[in-house]
Amino acid sequence: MTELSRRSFIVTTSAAAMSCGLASYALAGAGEEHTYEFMVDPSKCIGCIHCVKACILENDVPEHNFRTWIERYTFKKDQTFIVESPNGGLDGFGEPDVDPKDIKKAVFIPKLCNQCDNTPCLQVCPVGATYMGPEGLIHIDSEHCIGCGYCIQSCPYGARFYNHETGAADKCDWCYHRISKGMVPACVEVCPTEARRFSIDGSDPLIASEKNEGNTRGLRQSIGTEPKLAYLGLEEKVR
Amino acid sequence: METILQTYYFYPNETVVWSLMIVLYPFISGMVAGTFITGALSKAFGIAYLEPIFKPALVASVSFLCFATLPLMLHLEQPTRAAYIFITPHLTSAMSGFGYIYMGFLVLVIVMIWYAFRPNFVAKASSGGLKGVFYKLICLGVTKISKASYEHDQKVIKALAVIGIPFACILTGYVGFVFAAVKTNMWWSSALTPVVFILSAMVCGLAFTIILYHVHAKLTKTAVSSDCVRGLVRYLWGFLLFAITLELLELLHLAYYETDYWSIIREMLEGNLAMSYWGAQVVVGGVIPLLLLSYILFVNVSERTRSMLAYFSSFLLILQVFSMRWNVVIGGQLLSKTYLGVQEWNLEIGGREGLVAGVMVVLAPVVLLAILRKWLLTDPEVRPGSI
Amino acid sequence: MDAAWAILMGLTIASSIVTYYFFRPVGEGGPPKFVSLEGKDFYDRDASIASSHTKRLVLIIVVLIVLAFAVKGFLVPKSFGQDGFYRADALVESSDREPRHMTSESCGNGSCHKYEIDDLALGLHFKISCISCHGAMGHSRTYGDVHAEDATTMQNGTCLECHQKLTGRPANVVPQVDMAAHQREYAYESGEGCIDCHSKHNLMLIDENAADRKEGGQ
Ligand code: HEC
Ligand code: HEC
Ligand code: HEC
Repeated sequence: MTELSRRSFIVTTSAAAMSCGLASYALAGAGEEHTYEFMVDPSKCIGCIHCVKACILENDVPEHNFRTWIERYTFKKDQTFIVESPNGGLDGFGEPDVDPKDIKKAVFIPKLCNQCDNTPCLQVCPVGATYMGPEGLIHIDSEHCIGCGYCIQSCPYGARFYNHETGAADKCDWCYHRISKGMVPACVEVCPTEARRFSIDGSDPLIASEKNEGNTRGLRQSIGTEPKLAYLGLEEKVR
Repeated sequence: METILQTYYFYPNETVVWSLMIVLYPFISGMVAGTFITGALSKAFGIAYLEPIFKPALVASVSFLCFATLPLMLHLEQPTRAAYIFITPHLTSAMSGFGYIYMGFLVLVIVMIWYAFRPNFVAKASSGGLKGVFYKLICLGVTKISKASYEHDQKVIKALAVIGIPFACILTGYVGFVFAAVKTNMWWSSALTPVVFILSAMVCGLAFTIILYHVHAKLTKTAVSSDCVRGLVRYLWGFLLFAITLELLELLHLAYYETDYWSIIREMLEGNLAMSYWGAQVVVGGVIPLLLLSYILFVNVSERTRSMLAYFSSFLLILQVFSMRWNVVIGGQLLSKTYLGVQEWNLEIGGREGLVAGVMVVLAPVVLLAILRKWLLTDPEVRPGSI
Repeated sequence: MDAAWAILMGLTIASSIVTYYFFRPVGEGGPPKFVSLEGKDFYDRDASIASSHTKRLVLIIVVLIVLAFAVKGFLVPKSFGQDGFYRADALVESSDREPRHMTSESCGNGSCHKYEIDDLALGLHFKISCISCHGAMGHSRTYGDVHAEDATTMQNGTCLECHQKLTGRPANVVPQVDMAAHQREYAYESGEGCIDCHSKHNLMLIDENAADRKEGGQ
């Protein structure tokens, strides 16, 4: 995060405040560098799965694979918990297999690529088909990927998968084709409750302020991947 | 610590990405390294009683080496782009070096074979016709041998053996490192993994050499050297002991730490992997051969019994090494990255990575070995009479 | 599990059978034969040519290596390594793809759906993007036929994706109804859809009496 903001300080000079409309579509072209921030607020997620559906449509994600998916953590009163994600959420969550009286809390957790700063997937790619772009995002060059699957193995978040249609590894790239045009990712666009928030060059000041106040953290921080994706008020047990 | 998993969950994208082909890849490259080292021992350290298996082991090594990349090519989603691993090797990846290590080792083994069989090639080069031309080409036009050149060849072979042994260790230890480098998979990411890979490569190399030696002796109607068999068995016993010890030590280490990972490892070892781990890797492939080998080493037995038991346990040991590769590769992927579940997975029969393709991949080097044996190993050795 | 057991036993038995048959006759014959070089026409008593073959071999290997590296240089994809260890063009390619989900503003562009936008802004759905309910609109920016159809085939299911009572769905974020209870409470027939009472965009109650039905029902 500090790394990112430093970079943004140096690189980003364009003062244009980007609204997420078509107007900025024309303004922002590829080639300029921007700072992108993504924040997920699980307490606002209502599990409507519109983001999963939109992502599949937007990115031609093959069946049974997910660039983004929703999990439901049901914490019970006896300290144990249940995790579900039926077909990434597409099959509908239904009620968890617990007595409602035992439930302490239940929360939906949107998952997507964490865009780690210290990423294992980039490290293991044998040919340079996974790379970190100038803006710090991790991309996949599906024309160069040999499909060895090493990166899929090494991603601790299960964000990567084989896309048998392109014959390459695939994962969420925060809709780079959208954000480089000044739009927000498809999942953010359809989210009805602002559980997913996205900021281009600080267009959503809330993200930066929540980060600065230390209310956010990355998934599984103990493994040292330094994810850029920020979760607001994340439960300790979520992985 | 919870004994029963509280919940059963894995990420929706999680599948067994590396299946049978990636099991075969370390298996075959272990075979390459193991047979090579077995053969090279006699040359590098001047162990005379292993002399008879030098050439058979070398030929076995090269036959496996020729097919070591086949499973990889079958696995790759884009086999036509495989050359990128040479063209743009990304050096932070544990996999990128494989191309160069593999090529280097291939050259080394072929060169070594060339030196080992040069006198035979030269002898055939003096025959006329197409055959003569072919062998002249192979000899690179040098169609005379002198005593000095023979001694020169022996020196080169020794040098290659000395270089080749660590090289072979790198080749197979490296494959282990490919797995060990996956940080978040506790089943793989252990500094012991490459070591275990090297040791079990030695086990299956020695076992295969014992089988090959016996079959070769039978086909050429010669007797096996009992010193040689005893020597091989002694090495085999030692390496097997180390291999099993380290394999169990690794497990013990995981068990003793009792991290949240251990609960799913236990779940797996009691469930999906019970048979291939406890049954094949530990009991049938580990303890039984170890007992048999101990018996023929420490009890006076007839030559025939020794050969027979060594031969039999060699089969079990190859099974052991295969199941060890299986347990490492498949087991590591059955464990969910969430630490919350163990996947169900069944091997497919057809398809690029199915059982049928797998059997072919295993048989291919054996067929090549049969051909090479006929070509290279059936001719009597040509050498100066005074040596 | 049973299959694994069978395979294991099968392999063990197979190898013992192989061993048994293999060892029935004992190998005979002496130590491996060899042919002496001496006296052969290719035997060179003159020791001067000790290593000429090695020189040739080394030369060939060196030439091959040099050749391989030269070829390698040609095969590196264009623009690889320009900005880092990757194909710089790939970044451009991945940003070139056309977006499919458009913004609500773009629906109002050219005042096509100005009315709906204003209408939506009246109710609590004002933050929700059009495509969240209407889908990606023919999947592309060029509006196809799917566009019109999609908009008018909305079922109750769409509303319930967000409004169905569900464990884990925060009540302070979205008001939730239990379909059956809602139906009972406001006594409507099962044929009636959500938008027969809740006006589709501004959420105003269409059926003025609907709220009263509740009392009537009690
Ligand atoms: C909460 C869900 C929701 C949202 C958000 C929403 N709509 Fe609708 N829209 C509906 C429903 C429901 C219908 C009625 C479909 C039917 O009649 O079957 C509808 C119908 C329409 C129609 C069809 C015309 C008509 O009057 O029947 C248009 C055009 C339309 N919407 C445009 C928009 C636009 C533009 C936006 C964004 C500003 C938008 N909608 C946002 C739910 C929504
Ligand atoms: C994408 C999710 C989503 C869909 C689909 C959706 N809603 Fe909503 N709806 C919301 C949210 C979120 C709110 C609460 C907004 C707030 O409180 O700020 C809401 C609020 C409402 C309210 C307001 C209740 C009140 O207190 O006034 C009604 C009524 C309603 N929705 C009806 C519908 C109907 C009818 C449909 C189907 C056409 C529908 N909704 C579809 C997300 C959705
Ligand atoms: C017969 C008419 C009718 C139908 C049909 C109907 N509702 Fe309602 N609904 C009402 C009334 C009346 C209220 C109370 C409104 C108020 O109090 O302002 C209400 C309230 C709601 C609320 C707000 C609840 C709250 O706690 O604030 C939601 C959400 C809602 N309805 C969703 C739906 C959905 C989704 C459907 C379709 C499955 C639907 N309704 C069908 C009449 C209807």
